[in-house]
Amino acid sequence: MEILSLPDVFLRDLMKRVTLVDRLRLRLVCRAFESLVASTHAGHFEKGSIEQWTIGASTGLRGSAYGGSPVRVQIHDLDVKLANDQLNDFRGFRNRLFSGISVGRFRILVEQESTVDFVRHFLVNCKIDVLDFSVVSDIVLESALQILAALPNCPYTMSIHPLIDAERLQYLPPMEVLHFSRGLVKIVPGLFFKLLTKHKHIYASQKMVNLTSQEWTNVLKIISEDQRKRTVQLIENREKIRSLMIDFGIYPAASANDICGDFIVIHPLNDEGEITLRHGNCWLRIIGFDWTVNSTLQSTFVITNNRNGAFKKSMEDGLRR
Amino acid sequence: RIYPLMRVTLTTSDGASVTVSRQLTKHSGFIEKAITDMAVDDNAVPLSAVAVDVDDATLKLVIEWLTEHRDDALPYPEKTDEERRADDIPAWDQAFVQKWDTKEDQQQTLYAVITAADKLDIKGLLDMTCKTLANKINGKTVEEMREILQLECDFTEEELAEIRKENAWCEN
Repeated sequence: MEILSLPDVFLRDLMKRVTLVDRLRLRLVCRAFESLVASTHAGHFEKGSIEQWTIGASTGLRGSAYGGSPVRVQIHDLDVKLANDQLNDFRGFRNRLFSGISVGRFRILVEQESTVDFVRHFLVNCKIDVLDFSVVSDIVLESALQILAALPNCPYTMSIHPLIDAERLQYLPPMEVLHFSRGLVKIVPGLFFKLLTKHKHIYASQKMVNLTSQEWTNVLKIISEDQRKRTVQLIENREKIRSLMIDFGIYPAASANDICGDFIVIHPLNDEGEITLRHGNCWLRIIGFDWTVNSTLQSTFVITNNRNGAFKKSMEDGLRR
Repeated sequence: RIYPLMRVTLTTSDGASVTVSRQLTKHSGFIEKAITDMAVDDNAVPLSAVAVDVDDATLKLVIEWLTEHRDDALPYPEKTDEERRADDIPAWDQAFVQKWDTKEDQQQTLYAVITAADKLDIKGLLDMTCKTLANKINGKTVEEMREILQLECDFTEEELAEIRKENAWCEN
């Protein structure tokens, strides 16, 4: 008996358990295995990416760590650096390496039209749990929109870096996580509310929008009434939060279970500058706050209707970005 | 409900008969279906013989594995996309397979058990043997893979050079 006479279901399962570099070597074993490699699914990998690092030269966000080729494809142990004139050939090679693949989180950062086409073709027969875009320029944002148009049902997250024309963000389809990195140009409240109603989670790493007390209340109302589990993390000046707290009816001596206006104090302000409040069906956690007048420092404002998971997750994921 | 003392006789492809507990055969989709198709009273003792297309020597190995795994939960968990691990084979199973390493036809024994697991529809055994073979292949050179898989290279030198040229993209 030889391996190729084993049940098809077994061989397909086997080919999902070998790495991509092993698949490269298996291609060289014999003709039958070269064919088996090409015709079988590669299985699931936690992470993958296609990045075009020439972007780094224009934004300074990425160093010129790689010499020569402008496109890098990484999935598990597969790490390919391709020049632009190799992209077409690599499409064919990908089809000889697996018939399909599943990737948990796939990061994309591309800026050229030719690379957008390459990504579209590369992702055919790929099952992606979450596409993760890093948007460092308007051109990259346009590329991301084109890729999303080809994958309309794929959940995605987007990390927005500086130099983006903020108004264009309103054209993004609904996403799982919209993250604003440090340095973003400010957005107006009108655009913020468009983003808030469309996208599931929003994280900001620095102050990006000026909201009035009434607008803050509207944010709480939107999150509170949403059936989906949602989290918004914003950065605000402490002085503004102090003023906001007074408008909300929260006072410095408030203790646990006190009812202050429409809020219930869940955890009063502690020595670490954290206070947790409840408003309707949502919770607010303010981190890095004190009642000092004229403070120029900033605080983190986390609003969620998923208290158990979101506070911890927002601190771990959102702030880490 | 399956009673531990209930037994079923299996007749092998080479004419042997083996009587085993239903507690073991419940892990075999093939045998359970065969019993269901017979439409016999589950309380009948003994049950009618079930013919299996597996030789006596291989069936003994399968029964040895089933005996160790008689208390495994059923149904066997459906595979998810995330399941690609091959490094989680239980210690008993590893020792069970390693026993064959002393045999000259060790790879043939593995293939025979794989085929039997497929025919008898024993998902846990098929899964374990798949992981075992994947572990043997992972990280090996092409020559080592050929030796493990007992396959001859049938490429021409030109064809090999062409594949190596393509692979070189990924080996920078």
